[in-house]
Amino acid sequence: MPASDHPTVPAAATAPKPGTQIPTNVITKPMPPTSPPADWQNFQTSRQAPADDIRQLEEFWSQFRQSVPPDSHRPILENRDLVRIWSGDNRDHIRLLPENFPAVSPDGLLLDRWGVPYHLHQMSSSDLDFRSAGPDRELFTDDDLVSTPMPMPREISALDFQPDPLPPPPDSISEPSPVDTEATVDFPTAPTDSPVLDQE
Amino acid sequence: MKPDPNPVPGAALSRRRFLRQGGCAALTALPILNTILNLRLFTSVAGAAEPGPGEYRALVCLFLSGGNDSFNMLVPRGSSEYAEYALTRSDLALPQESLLALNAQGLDGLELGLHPAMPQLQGLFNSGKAAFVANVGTLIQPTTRMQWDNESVPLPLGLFSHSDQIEQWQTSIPDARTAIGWGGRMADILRDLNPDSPVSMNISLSGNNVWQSGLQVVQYTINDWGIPGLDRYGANWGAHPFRKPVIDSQMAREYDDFFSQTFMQSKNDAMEAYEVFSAVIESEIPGNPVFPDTQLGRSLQQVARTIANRSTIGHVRQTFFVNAGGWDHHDEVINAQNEMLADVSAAVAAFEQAMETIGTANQVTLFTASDFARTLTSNGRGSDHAWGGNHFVVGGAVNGQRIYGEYPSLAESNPLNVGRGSLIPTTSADEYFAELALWMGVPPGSLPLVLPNISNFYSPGSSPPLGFLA
Repeated sequence: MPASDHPTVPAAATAPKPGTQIPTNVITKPMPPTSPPADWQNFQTSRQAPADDIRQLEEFWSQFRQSVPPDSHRPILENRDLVRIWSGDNRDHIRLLPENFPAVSPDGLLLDRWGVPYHLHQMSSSDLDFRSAGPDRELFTDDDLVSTPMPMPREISALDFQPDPLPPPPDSISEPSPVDTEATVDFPTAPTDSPVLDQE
Repeated sequence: MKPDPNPVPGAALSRRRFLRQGGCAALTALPILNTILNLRLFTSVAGAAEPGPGEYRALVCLFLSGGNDSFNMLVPRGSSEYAEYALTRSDLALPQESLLALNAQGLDGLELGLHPAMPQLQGLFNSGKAAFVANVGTLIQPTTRMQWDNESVPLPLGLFSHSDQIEQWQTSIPDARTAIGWGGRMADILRDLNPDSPVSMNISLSGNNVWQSGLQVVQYTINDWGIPGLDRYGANWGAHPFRKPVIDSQMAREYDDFFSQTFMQSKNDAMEAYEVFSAVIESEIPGNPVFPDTQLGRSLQQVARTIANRSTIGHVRQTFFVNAGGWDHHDEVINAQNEMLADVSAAVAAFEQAMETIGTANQVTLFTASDFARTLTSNGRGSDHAWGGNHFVVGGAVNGQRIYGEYPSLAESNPLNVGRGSLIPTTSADEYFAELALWMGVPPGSLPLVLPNISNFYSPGSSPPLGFLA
């Protein structure tokens, strides 16, 4: 990955925080066949739009949790915990982040392309939303880049379906016939304060 | 267990006698809990205490879903503690002079205040009708910072995530995923106290929920405007007069297959409950207490109406579930809490007033729950998911004007802080719930059936778990 494509980490984000521990002695294992190694080549480069960074993170998270069940690593309180887990601090020592990854600050935070730590939001132990502060570098403002629902896989994309056109609606919907067709039925009149009879 | 006063040699054991004599007390070991639960709660008949004449007890769970920032609800007010709080919370700190004074007893010099939007709750606390439980949260077993660091203690599954923590606050089983709640398990034991009612002991104002789901008991769902019934059943206009006889004949029939029969039985039960409950919904609450015209106010009004009509329904034990959502304040926490805590305070005070008017203040306890508390440190706009937090209980049976559990130091250097001001709970949700379950009449020996991990924190039979209920 060309290092020059990555933004410089701002000074505020590079200040090491006391007590920060980034695992340095993790045993790394290749990702299993169901989870191909994460391809970070275009991440935060001019080769892709900023919103694609978020999509990529979501995709990596999705791949990761297929290999590493949610309950087999430390809980994720904040961004720093995800970096630790993606650096191999998980049950199977699976490593997703390359060593010395430029988007990880010295104090172990995954930064967006503007140098601000991503904000993580855990809906459940398997669903993690990512938020970037966007160009104004301030979280929870209008220019934030946020997670969106994962697109459907291409093979089952809605665009691939060409449903049959719906049959035309009937002119009218008649009441079902009573069981005894010989019987005569007097329908009482609806009271004036009754709700409008909708079609069933 | 008392011996049978009139033993009849050779007499056939009734099911009830068999269960009473079955030595159920010995069957509390955790590994066999699931088996017991699957045996239709073996102790349910034998365990429940007989109600005294007119005895009534109800729990109201007010669930603040999203994760209430409860360290801005119950706040240090004394100089040095406030200084720590203000330093840690930075832009999220409330002004010291705005905090409402709590005349708490037994705090050993610690001075706590209440969020300025909660004057009604302040009144309830200072008059002894409300108490707080401090730094309570989901735990599998008591957990220290050293154990956290060494990863030498199991942690609740999905810690810091909404859905997992909501589930665990409702199941009180943080080491497994289950859809059976502790309120449901409690109702499985206590439901025999409501022998003839077609309405479930567990009534929800907020749809289906895990807390009230038991193995046998499911919640009866109402809402703040009424009860859902079978659409146009009994209508006497248009083609609808045909509906009633058709539906009635469907339900009267015996079905060969189990699923159809169960479905029709459930439908029949629901319609019976609807008939009973219809009279309740149309009734006035004695004294016509005024509730805030908010979703929460209307929901608690409906709870009060139901409690006022408990005899009509045939209940001596009830639980109510009221969800008040929208507490996930990653931004705008200050402004949002100003409005939302004000609503909670006004609605809870109106409810307590209604209970006094009805004459059930000593028989009804309202308690709060939430996914988690929030980080003490700011994300710049709000606070994020954390762990231990503060909750309140309200009612005539509450030993009020006290803080139960241990209110923690809010300094960032507190060893309980596992990051960003997320605090390891010093009181388990199990202890909090055990106090409520025992008050509802769950026999101490049956407590592990309701709260399977309770023995990690409390020995049933000793003094009360926390002591906030008389």
